[in-house]
Amino acid sequence: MKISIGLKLGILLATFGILATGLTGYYFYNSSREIMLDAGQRDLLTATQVLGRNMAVSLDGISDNARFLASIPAAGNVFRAPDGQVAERQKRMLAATFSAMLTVHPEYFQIRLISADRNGLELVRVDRDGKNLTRVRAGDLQEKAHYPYVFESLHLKRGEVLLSKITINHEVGAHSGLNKPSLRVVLLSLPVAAGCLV
Amino acid sequence: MLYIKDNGSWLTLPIMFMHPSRFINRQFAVSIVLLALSLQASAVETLRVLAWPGYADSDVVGDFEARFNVHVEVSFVSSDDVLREKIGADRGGDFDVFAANTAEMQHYINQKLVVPIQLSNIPNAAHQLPRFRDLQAIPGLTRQGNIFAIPYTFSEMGLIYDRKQFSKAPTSMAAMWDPRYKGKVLAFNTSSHNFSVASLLLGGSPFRIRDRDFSKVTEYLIKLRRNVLTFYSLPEEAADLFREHSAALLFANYGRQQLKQLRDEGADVGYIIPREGALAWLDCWAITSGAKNKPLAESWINYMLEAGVSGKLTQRQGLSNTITDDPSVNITDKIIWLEPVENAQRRANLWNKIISGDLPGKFRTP
Repeated sequence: MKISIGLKLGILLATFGILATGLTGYYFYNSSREIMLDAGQRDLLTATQVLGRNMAVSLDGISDNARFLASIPAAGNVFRAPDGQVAERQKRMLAATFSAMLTVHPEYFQIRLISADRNGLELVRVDRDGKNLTRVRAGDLQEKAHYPYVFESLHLKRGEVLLSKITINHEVGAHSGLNKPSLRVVLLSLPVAAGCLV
Repeated sequence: MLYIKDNGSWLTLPIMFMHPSRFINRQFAVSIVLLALSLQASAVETLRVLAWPGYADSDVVGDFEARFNVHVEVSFVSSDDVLREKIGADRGGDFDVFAANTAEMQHYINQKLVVPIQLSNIPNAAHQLPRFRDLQAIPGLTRQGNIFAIPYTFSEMGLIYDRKQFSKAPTSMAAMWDPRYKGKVLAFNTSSHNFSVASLLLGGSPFRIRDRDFSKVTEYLIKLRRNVLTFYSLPEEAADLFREHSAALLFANYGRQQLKQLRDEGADVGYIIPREGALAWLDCWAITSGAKNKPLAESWINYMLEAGVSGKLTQRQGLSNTITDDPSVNITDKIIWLEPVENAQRRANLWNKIISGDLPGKFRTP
């Protein structure tokens, strides 16, 4: 088949046209991609900085709450009680305070008073259980001395607060906190270790 | 022509210009002709290997490919559960050869996911250390006279101790329960091995705890919980805790790798295989029931047992191999190869309660 020179010229011009369009398109794609990436990175950086500031403020608030709980007389009185009956009364008062704190802080899963000796036995523990708050019965309290948030807090100075590593809570019986990422905020107030779960 | 290497196949994309003579004849012509886009099917055989990190490094695989003129596809797994999933996915049809420990091999044999291996096709097996040549003596490798797996590498779980805190090396895992080292012991967070070790120390079978013995073993593990600093999960975590808290004892779930890690960090530590015996895992190569080329898979296993190849595993990973004698391994040490346990779920449930800190009164075992 014979192809006319007009058709050949047409094909050549069309090829150049396609090439030019392709190159322009590619250039625009490339430059817009870079602009979008820059904008995305800037947004992320700003968001991270804001989040970081919020986190710091929020951690300060949690630490203050831990200090407050450790300073109320009932916490120390649990250890100073002359007999079991008095100790139980102090524990009830403390549990009521824990419940009040959990009520106003829906982000807390659990507040506990943990003994620094006796293998880290929990003395008072109030858990969030769905919409309810549950004070854990004496027989269901657990020993926690082998958890880093307990044994590492034993080296704290008075008034210092330990923020644990954020881990998934696999502790059986943790109610709403079970299998959730958890940060333990622990304050040591000799001989009391008070821990709250966020 | 433009060639693009695509996973062993050649993607041929010819871009041809018209012949120069025709170019001249027609005075003016530029044509871009896309003649063909053809995917040249590879005539090279492919061996699909499923292994653990470090078992099939690229140089080792490259030598095998060159020698047998085949292509090897290596996939890695990091846990027994993932391994089960991958082999079980297509009844073993997705892989030709894989590595699993002796306890896990039972599962694959039961599910008929592996096929018997002809020992005559693995001549290098004859050069293995004596304790690995008697395959009948290692639980989980054979069934009804058929060989289903060939040992490749092993590591025992001994006890690491701080030489400064021990005038004499401990001789038994029972040292972890010794109140003199309260808060100085690092145990491993696992249900299966902890129950096995506790049962062994109480005079029972490590892998077959009788129903009536469960409460006794559980109580013993609660005593361990009260004596440890903590239960670790990763070797790096154990090394950090050992250093930061001046621990005295460490249950080496990862074996001599952990000893090497601590010594590299400058710790003055010793390592013992307890007199009651150390649990040990033994990884073996096996061929899937879906293997496309069984003789090639057997060649792979045979190649893995060459002294040079097995030796690299020891040099690079610190794992013992089955060919060369490791001077640090004492032949008289009592090694207990892992076997499937009587009820893994029951052990896991009890362990979750133990590690959560439940008091002894909370355990109701039959």
